[in-house]
Amino acid sequence: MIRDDGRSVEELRPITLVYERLDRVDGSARFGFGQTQAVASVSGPIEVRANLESPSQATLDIHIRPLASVPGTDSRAFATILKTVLSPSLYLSHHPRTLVQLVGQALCGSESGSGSGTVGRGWNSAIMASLINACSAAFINAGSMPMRGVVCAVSIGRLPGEDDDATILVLDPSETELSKLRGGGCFAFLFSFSTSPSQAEDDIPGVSLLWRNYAASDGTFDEAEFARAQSLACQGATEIWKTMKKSLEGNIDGLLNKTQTAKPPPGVPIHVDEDDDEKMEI
Amino acid sequence: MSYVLPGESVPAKHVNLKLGPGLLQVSHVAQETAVVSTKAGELKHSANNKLWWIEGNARRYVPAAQESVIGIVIARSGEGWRVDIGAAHMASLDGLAFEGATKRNRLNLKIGSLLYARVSLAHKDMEPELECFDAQTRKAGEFGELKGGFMARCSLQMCRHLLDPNHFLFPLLGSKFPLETAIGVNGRVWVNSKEPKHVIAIVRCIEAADPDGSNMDALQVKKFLGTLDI
Amino acid sequence: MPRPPSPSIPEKEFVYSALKQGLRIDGRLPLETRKPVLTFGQDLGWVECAMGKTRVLAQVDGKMVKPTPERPLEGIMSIHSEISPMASSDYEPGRPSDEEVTMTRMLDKVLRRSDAVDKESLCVQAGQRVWHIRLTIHCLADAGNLLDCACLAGIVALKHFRRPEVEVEGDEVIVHHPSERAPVPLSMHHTPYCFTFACFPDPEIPTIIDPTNLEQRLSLGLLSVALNAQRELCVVQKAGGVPLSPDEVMQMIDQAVAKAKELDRIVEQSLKEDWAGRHVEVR
Repeated sequence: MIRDDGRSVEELRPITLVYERLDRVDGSARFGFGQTQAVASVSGPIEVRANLESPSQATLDIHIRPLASVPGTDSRAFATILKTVLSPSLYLSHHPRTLVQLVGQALCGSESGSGSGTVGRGWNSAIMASLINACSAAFINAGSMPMRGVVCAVSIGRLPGEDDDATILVLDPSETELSKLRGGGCFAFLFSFSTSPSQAEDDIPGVSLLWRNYAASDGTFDEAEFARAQSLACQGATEIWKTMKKSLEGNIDGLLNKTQTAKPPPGVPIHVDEDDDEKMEI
Repeated sequence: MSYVLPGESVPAKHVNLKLGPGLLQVSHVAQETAVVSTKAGELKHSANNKLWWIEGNARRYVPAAQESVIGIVIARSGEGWRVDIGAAHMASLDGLAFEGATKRNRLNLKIGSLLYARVSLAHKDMEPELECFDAQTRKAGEFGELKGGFMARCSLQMCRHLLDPNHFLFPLLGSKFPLETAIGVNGRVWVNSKEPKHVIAIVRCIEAADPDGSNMDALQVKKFLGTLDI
Repeated sequence: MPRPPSPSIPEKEFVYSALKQGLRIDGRLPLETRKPVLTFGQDLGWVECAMGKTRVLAQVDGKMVKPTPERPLEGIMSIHSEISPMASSDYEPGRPSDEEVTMTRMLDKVLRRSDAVDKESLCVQAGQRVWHIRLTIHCLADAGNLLDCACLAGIVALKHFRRPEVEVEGDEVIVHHPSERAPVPLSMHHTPYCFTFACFPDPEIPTIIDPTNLEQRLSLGLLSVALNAQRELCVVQKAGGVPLSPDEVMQMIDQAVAKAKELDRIVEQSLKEDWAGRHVEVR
């Protein structure tokens, strides 16, 4: 077994997707891979302050908040990245001189430990992916901003293999795996028929890669490895797209008190083997 | 029933195709034009396949011409008023946009008044405009100031449900006590009844039936109404 | 233009006239609070508190730092509470609103300066190492009375949090991983709760507790009382608004005492249930 939790290399942790219905925003959603969860809210199009107003399109204003303490430079850096990731998925020009306000809140620690993404600093790839997916789901929930497609993201980890040179790529590394990784990164894809006009089987619209921060923290990687990482990520992202699609039936047609019945309390483990996950920051 | 996410291709084809909310025609270089969804929801079409649209829910109102809305007068501006209709921009209401209004005989609206009005102009690059008379007859009809009562807020889909004469809620409430309503499609419903407790019951039942709220069906709302003091 | 637009005349008149009959839009009595729902996270010190549609997330973490030279024997506690536009699109980011300023001050008074946490117990090595307990408050949704909800979330998070056991051997500090030795809860002097009342200028309109967003905006003065179930007052805050007689204030405090006892039971019960639900392995 390569992975601690018994998953295969191309298996995601259990996905959580809940439309939170936060009271005073236009759309909200919580997304999580296992315990790596994030919540996002969207308001818009709303009135824009003069200093942010753009005459030709809606202004996308993004705030990213870590679980502990106040947002720092790393959060602002990630907010800037998110803007470039999400902008292509929205028809911002349909609502000029307005504001679209997005707040992403991490519900778990965001330190990258060692290995994934920027080593030891910044946001780890799994929480980045959770936040991107939560933002997409919040836009879907809001329904007031026209969208070109849906952005889905996953993280890929590089685990050392049996002999020293081999690297095994794993989908969605968990928090316990972070310390063993030799790099990896987050991949964000846009699922849209209008940007890539092909509809595969299962009615999944065309996919295009929007953004990635794949890097090796130890040694180098070649093009073939990157291609493998991207196709593994694409496979994971497709699963997320399917989950989002499935979520519509419950959300829009409406199961009674969806938030109450379908919402596992954030802390309650969805699967059983969590005991060793009990962590504490020292 | 089929649900779509934004960015999916939709099999809408008709010689005289009309696309409603949530659908957009795009053209690709190599391919002929296609219809794609721009919001999430249930894909719907008319019986003759001519009209296609997406039925989804939202909280934020985006003005569209000829829709009836409920607005709050925020400020006077020159000859008219600035009205909050829950959209990104304030709507403007001309002082003469009422039945029988003339330069001499003009309505006096207070700041904070509630209005039932019709969107007469909606364009992304312009401020929305309102009028308080019917477009054809130029008569006031039900438009004008809403006095007394209370304004409930709900999702946009709930407003559309309430406008449907076959929806269960108002007939159910009407069988218990007399009530008055004005439904704006901008997520605002004005309700009135003699007793404050009846108004409260209406407001709470709207929230209970709202797909964005408790999303109860007719039977559940009836049961819920039974627990209220009316 | 004021942001947000103030409630319309019919909304205002209806709320007032219904209150005169003792009726509230959400069906509560004037002195009835919304029942809080506490949800605990997997990590200790992670609590979400919902009062109706108002929701606040509180998280506590601890790390070891050098104490301040003025107080070498005391641990440090800091509270972060920024209201983001997630609570409501009416809150502008980067510009502290009046609500945020009030909330930050009140949280500081209710949770930190009331000496709820025994700061001396956070000392590991005098003048060398102390625990720095950091509480972060995230307002997820403001449907009225964000302050009481934030105070409750904060105090429950502090009670829920456990720090790793520490051993001092000479100059060496050994921090035991939670799997080796059971982590220890913070030592608390008492548990203060905050209750906010909304007052109206018309003597016929009763004072209400735990106002909703609409009620809060239509009221003319809020009075917040922070106290514990042992009837000890920590903070009484009234920032302007209608003048009140001493009798009226006393009545509100009496009400708050009764509510604090009730709330204390709910909190203790939820904490107990959560603790029973998790088994901490001690090897």
